[in-house]
Amino acid sequence: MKLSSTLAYGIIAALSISSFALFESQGHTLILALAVFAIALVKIATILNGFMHLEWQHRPFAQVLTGWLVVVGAVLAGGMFALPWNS
Amino acid sequence: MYAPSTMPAETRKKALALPGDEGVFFFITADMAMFALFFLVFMVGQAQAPDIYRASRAALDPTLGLLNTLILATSGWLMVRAVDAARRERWSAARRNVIAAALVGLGFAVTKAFEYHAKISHGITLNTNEFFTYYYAFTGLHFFHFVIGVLVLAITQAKLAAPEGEKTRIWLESAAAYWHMVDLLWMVLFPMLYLAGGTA
Repeated sequence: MKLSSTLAYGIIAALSISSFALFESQGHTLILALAVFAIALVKIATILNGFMHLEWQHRPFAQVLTGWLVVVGAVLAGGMFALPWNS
Repeated sequence: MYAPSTMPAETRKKALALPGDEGVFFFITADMAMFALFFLVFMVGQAQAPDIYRASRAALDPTLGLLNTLILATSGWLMVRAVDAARRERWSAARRNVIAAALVGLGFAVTKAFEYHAKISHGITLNTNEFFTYYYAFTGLHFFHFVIGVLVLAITQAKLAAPEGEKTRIWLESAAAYWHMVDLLWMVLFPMLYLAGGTA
């Protein structure tokens, strides 16, 4: 599905403010850190789709960049699980 | 609306075409792979010395990070509008949007200069500790990409002043793809450096 660029922009702005608000109001826990990164990955997917108009038929770049998103997501999540957290 | 398999050949070809030059997408992919390695290196360093990273992160101002995120997103959106206008052969509108994207984007440079100045005037430099080595290296490299992007936008608006049809459209789409990559990378750098991982 192709997102309209204005809707994509609205989603990115709202998610950016949300992740900042989460950070400011809720302290620092593993769940919130993962939520902040999950929001970042959704924003990236929104840019790829709504701004770059990169769709699945654009082989191989759409597949490679989707793979990049998965790998980076795993790196970021792994990095958070490796940290000591107060429950 | 046609499903791709039932479209006339020419329409289908256009629908399947990459939005920009293939070489630019190769560069974007390679560059993003390099940054993925940087993110991995940062995460490993953070896992080995979490207290240093948390104490250092507390010295950053996440409000400036958020401001830069919104600036880049707004600038990216203006580039999408420029590409949409160019696809309708509305070259003046495309040029106006590219100029607006560059001007809004310059806000990122102002914020970054303010942020670097504040850090350096407090004695926080590349040599302060590992966190700040990565902070300056990653944001500096990202800023270098940003500067190249602004130069590309300047060239693009000049090309749009005397458009050459398809050739100019492909150039603009490629410039927009590069500009969105600058945006994409910041979407990871912002939470990684400023937000997630905790502060002391």
